[in-house]
Amino acid sequence: MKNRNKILLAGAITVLVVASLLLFASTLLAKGKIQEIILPGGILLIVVMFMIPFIKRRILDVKKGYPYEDERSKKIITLASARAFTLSIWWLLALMWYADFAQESSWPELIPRHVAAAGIVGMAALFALSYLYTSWRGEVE
Amino acid sequence: MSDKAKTMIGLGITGTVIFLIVFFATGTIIEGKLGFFELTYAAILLFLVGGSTLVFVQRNKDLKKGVAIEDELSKKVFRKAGSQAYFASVWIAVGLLWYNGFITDNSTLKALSMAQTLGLMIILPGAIFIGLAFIYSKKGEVE
Repeated sequence: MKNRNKILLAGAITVLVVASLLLFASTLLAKGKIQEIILPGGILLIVVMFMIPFIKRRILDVKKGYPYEDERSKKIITLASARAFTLSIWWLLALMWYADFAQESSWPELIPRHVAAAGIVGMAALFALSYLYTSWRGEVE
Repeated sequence: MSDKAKTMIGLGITGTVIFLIVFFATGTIIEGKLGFFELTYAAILLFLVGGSTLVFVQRNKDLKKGVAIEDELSKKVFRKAGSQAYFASVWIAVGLLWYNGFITDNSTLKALSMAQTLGLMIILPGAIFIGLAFIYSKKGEVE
């Protein structure tokens, strides 16, 4: 795929995700479920915070004539996401344990849409940590 | 870290998870509360027991033969499959959020329960990971 098309695809996906979350949040707002906006709002902020600088840097790199993604950054993303996958399974098991525990105690209970949103936020945070760790260690072989 | 230590750590972690799940499951069975949650636990338990037994048997065989337990190809296969399964799991979670939060609110479809949502978020990416690892191992090349 051409570099320009890759940037357009990344931009289109970001716009789609942001539009979905905005639509979701506005539906909740219209129904007066203000507390439930916190989670989609959190995801929206994370997406905007990470994706805008990411796409901006890629556009500048391509304009300067650099490749969209070099071999090393590809390997870092692959290793970071593989690590994040293992950690995500543990995160989801912890959420499952918490959901069960909260039903039997006085801790705040989760509803299914909270679980999905907490899952996404946790997975995104784990990927960010894993990416930072893998970049810092520098060993991708 | 030596191969033996890696195998023992893997076995220890899997054993701890299995023990915790069995501990919770027996508690709920004794209390007579066998619901979807407990059945999901049971499915994950079966998955873990089956998968870890296979891995342990294979690694033990390799250790006895003196073969490296994790060669370059299997490392690459697990990395690529894990990476793709991670991105799939994010999209599965986004899909479930949409389904539970938007589609069911605006249609006659029934929202998924907590256990169904969590179960799908764990089992589907797990199945994708196993499927991709199997395909890449069969193909024999990963780049």
